[in-house]
Amino acid sequence: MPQHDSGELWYTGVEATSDTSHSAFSLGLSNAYHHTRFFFRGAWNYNYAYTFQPYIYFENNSSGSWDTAASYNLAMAYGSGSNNWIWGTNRDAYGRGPLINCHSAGTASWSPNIITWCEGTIWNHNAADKATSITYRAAVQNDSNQAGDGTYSDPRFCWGWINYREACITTSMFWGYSGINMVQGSRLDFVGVDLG
Amino acid sequence: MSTSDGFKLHGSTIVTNDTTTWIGMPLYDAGVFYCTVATHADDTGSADYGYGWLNAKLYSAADGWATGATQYEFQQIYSAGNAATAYNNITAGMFKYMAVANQHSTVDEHQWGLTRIEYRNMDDSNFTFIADEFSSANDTNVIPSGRSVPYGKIDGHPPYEWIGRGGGTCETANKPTWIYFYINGVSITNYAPGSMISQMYMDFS
Repeated sequence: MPQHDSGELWYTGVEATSDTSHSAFSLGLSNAYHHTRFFFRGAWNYNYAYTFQPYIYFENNSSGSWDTAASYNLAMAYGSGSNNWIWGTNRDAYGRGPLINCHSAGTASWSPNIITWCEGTIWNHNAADKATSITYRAAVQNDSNQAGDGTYSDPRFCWGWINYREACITTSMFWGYSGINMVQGSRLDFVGVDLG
Repeated sequence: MSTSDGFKLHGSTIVTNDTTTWIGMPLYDAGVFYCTVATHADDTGSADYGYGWLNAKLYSAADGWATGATQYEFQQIYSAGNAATAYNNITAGMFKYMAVANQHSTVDEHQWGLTRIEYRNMDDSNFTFIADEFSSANDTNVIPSGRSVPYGKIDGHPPYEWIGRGGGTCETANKPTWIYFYINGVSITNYAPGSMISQMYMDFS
């Protein structure tokens, strides 16, 4: 395939350097880009048999704090085996991201089949007259290596969106869960969509 | 991670007036459309809906418009409630519901329908796309007449916002060179100003 100039450029990322270094990732959104693609891989360092979602907050135009007002809507489709469901919320004080699996033993037994992969788009974050939204799709594996009650062993899929309803330039994003760390190697990257 | 996924910027079309009904984009060998669109606030719309949509048709100088009833196939899983529904259309002579639009006659004007569409356009004349990032959120928090929960709460009952993903193909005699996105919906005729469709692309030769 021939090489081209790129319209999509990596501009920042963060990685958990140990099993206790990060309960959340906080990354600045570059105002140079209208949209940002994001890529997440990782798992919770937590003894729990199920998946759960990271909390997501945005910073409103360099305010210096996360917006925890009733500013978040979301919708998610998820499933396991032959089952699938749709779920949503309206005007919560936080957004919630994709299902992320838990891992109680850190990297000692972290294998490629028990991380979550998620990619998506953070839309219109540099437009003051448009709300910022996330769209995403993700795959989650949760296998017999899981601790906890061991009742859940199906891989899951999920996809959906999170809407931060404020009309503002959005300058940072929080992705995490207070008090629960991500395993070493968990990572979040931002790739700018250059619209010229 | 690589610093590039290889896509090159084509550019954006941004609606600046009150009368735009379609947006055209050239087609390359491969590409991605980022669609941020809404229907015009002056359109009547429907009080029961917070959304409209984009239909799309393909064109080439060699073939003219692709409008045959058997040329397009479109499949989608979507929901405006608490369960997914499968939809397909293979007879419309166009891609119906290719992207979602917010309806600005009922939804706050800073809320926009979002669809990311990735396509491949083959020399043997088969255009194929997937649209697997899709959102039509709004924050009106208004409970429409006769309903029990507000617009924007997706696990209640319609009319709410949309979640969906899908894809489609179009078979033509010659490789299509343009795609036209038409705003549509119940009593909808025009794009809202500020609607924007951007394209990244790759050429393989």
